[in-house]
Amino acid sequence: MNGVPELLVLRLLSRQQMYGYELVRKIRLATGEAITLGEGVVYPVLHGLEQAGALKARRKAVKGRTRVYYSVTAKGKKRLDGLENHWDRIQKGVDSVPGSTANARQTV
Amino acid sequence: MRDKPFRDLQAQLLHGGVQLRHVSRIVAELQDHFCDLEEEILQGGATAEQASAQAAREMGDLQEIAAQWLAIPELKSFLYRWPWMTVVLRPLIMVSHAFVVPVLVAAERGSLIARWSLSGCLAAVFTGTLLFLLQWLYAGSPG
Repeated sequence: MNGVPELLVLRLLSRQQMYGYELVRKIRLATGEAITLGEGVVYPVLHGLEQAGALKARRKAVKGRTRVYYSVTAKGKKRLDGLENHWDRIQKGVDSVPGSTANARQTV
Repeated sequence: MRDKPFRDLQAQLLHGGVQLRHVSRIVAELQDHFCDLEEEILQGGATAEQASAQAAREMGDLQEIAAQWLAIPELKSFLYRWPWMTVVLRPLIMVSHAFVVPVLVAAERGSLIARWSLSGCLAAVFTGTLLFLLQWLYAGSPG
């Protein structure tokens, strides 16, 4: 699962800016609850990506609360491309192993 | 989960060298998240106590989460990231300041210092002359 939270966060935030709570809900929905990150786990990922310049944070006052909205920067988009390529390679590697479902489909 | 776990988290992060501005934001974001979560559970029909307990469970172990923040070096204060600076460079900078600051201050306020110095010298010459005259008059007086 190393790198998965980062990939999910960057992919979802590349579509629209979101705050932490919203993002956790979106991850649950988007992955059909296959991946459920701990509610608090997403924040260190967000802050780490922000420090690396991959995300930009902006405060917004909503219903008396200050929400911190995150969006992907140009650097973040590059990082997302890199992560996606990495995961594509892994997926292809796994699929090419005899006995995998994708491999079985190809051989039929 | 009320304030205590968040205060503990705050203390743990500060103790670990995370900068205060980051700590404040981390705690505020987590508290907001907790409130959102609690509200959602309450809307599902749970009691306030149940909602609080479930929200705390779903938030996860804050100590474990804190460890993830402590692993991000960029969040830590400069002296925590470069501790040798405190041992080597900081004393050097302080010592150099001991010499440089008076020179810089003197250069900036040169005219004022010159005027005060001149006044001081004139006062010393005047007092010296006066004392000399008194001494001379006393020594020259009969008896």
